[in-house]
Amino acid sequence: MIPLFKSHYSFGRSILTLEDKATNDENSEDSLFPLLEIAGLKELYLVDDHFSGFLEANSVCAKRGIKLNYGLRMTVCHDMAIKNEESLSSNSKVVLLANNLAGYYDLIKYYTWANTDGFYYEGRIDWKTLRAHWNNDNLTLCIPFYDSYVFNNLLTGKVCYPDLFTDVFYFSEDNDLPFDGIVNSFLAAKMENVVPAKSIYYNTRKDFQAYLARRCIDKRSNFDKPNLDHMCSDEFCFESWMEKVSNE
Amino acid sequence: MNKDLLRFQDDKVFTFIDCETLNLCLHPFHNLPWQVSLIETRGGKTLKEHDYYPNFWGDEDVPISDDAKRITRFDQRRFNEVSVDPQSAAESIYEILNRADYICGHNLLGFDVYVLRGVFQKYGLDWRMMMPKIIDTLALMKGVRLGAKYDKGSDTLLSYQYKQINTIAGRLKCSLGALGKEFDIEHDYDRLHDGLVDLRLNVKVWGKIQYMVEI
Repeated sequence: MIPLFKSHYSFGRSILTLEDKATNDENSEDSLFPLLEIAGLKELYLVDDHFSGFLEANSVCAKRGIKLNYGLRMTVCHDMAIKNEESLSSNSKVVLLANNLAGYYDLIKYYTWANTDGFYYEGRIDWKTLRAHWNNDNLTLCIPFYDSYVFNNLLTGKVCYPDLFTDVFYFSEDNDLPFDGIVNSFLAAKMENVVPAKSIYYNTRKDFQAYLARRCIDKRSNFDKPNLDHMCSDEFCFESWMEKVSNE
Repeated sequence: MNKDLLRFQDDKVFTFIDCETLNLCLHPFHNLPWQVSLIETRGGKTLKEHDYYPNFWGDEDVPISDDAKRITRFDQRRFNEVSVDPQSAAESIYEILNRADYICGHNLLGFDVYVLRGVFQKYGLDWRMMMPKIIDTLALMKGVRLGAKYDKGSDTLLSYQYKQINTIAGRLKCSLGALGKEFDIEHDYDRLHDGLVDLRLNVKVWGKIQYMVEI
């Protein structure tokens, strides 16, 4: 089961830092590097929504001799030149994993286009642009479990028509949410290259409160009325991943 | 005539449920129900009503938010008189839902499922048994308003209902009170946001909705 870490550079979506420290303690933010140490992991799968964490991730990984698998979670749509309410219904998420340094430079290009030409409420790339500049040696296309075209077509009113121009990997997760089973049943029945994974946004289940606080700050809401749909599970944590891999 | 449609399943037990909680948080660390009401029905007729006041707070006052207190007219003294051990309440509620053929409610998928999930997890009960049985009257009514027909061949009922719940569209007027008035249902609308009062209206509203959907 691949641990897909997200860092605090994905603003408001994780409370794990990329600080180079040996251990975590109760008095400061948790870094994900001590967690890798605890698990004996020599590779880091870091999937962020924003590019700004790459430099710190790369330098700390290099110093510690950890292989960095860096991925960007991006919004893809049907046509990024169309900017109206209707166009939002084709939005879904993909994860672009860089296989090498050239892949990193490809990510920079995609990210730049998405946040300039394609920007509409958020940065968006479209399938034809992905296809036109794609290089399988440099990048791997992954479909995340949540907010992907599969998730959206099964559980939301969106209509996402993906152009799967290359082999893709589908991440399968189970975070104890009521609808996880719907997506997993579909993936098991219909898709190939399904890879068990877990998104990790915080260290332990107790840290969910701190995580929710961060999300509420982002949303300008509060614990009494978080205004965050489906925000009930404390399973997006390293502790849960450790338990699952121990049971395998 | 398609006898598989829900409106023809007179032999099945449809159990309606509603939770009144401290606030709108979906995680049990900050939100638990102080009232859980259920109505078991079959063939449109009420079999039994249940009204539980689980006391998760012992001798402390229920930490209900000001908004929730106002909306639900929460009374601490009354709660103290009627409250029960939370574990036994949870186990009783679980048993009632487990024996139901369908679990019905308004906005179950957006709220109550999470509240019940938190309570059942607390006592090691498998909350997932609820999911295949869920009929969310808010989801179904949103589908009616949006003109979204259910296609049994390409969607599970749960998946269809999630699509409606997750579709953001304003001015659909699908609240329980609004539907009750639209359907000319006689009810005590001044006493809404009390568990059993809401549920009795929900049962009547479902009586109308089931003829508006081909499910």
